[in-house]
Amino acid sequence: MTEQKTLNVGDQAPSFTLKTIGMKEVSLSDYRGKNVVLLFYTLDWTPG
Amino acid sequence: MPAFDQRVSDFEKANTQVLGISTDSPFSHDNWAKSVGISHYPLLSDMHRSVAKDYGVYSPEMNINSRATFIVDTTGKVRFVVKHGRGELPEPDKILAEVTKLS
Repeated sequence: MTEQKTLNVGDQAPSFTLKTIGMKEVSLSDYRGKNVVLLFYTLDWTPG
Repeated sequence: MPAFDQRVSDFEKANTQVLGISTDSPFSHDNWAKSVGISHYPLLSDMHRSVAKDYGVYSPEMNINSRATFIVDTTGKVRFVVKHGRGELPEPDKILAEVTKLS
């Protein structure tokens, strides 16, 4: 298994396009010009 | 995560978009969001685990992402990273304070 690369402060944030509720697509680049807080959480239906 | 929903307007005042990401489907997100009261920011479905891997938060043991918060600035650069331990949740006040430091 290859070592997972770690993203650090100062790195360019990797772009992504993902589906949200209603199967609409959301891209990080949609928010260029704004700051973005990315909250990675473990799973729906778990605390928090 | 519901804690952030109640603070979305504060983040908007700081020119900041909040996004939630997990490996669940949009259908799961829909049910969960309605259940816990998340309606002011999008929940994204990283079903292929590609974003978790790109951001270095993929947990092979569980085949899901671990808990972490990133702040990306207006130019697309990572400015803040915190990885949360088991049972730890990001606190809106602390994250908002980090955001306001950027400008």
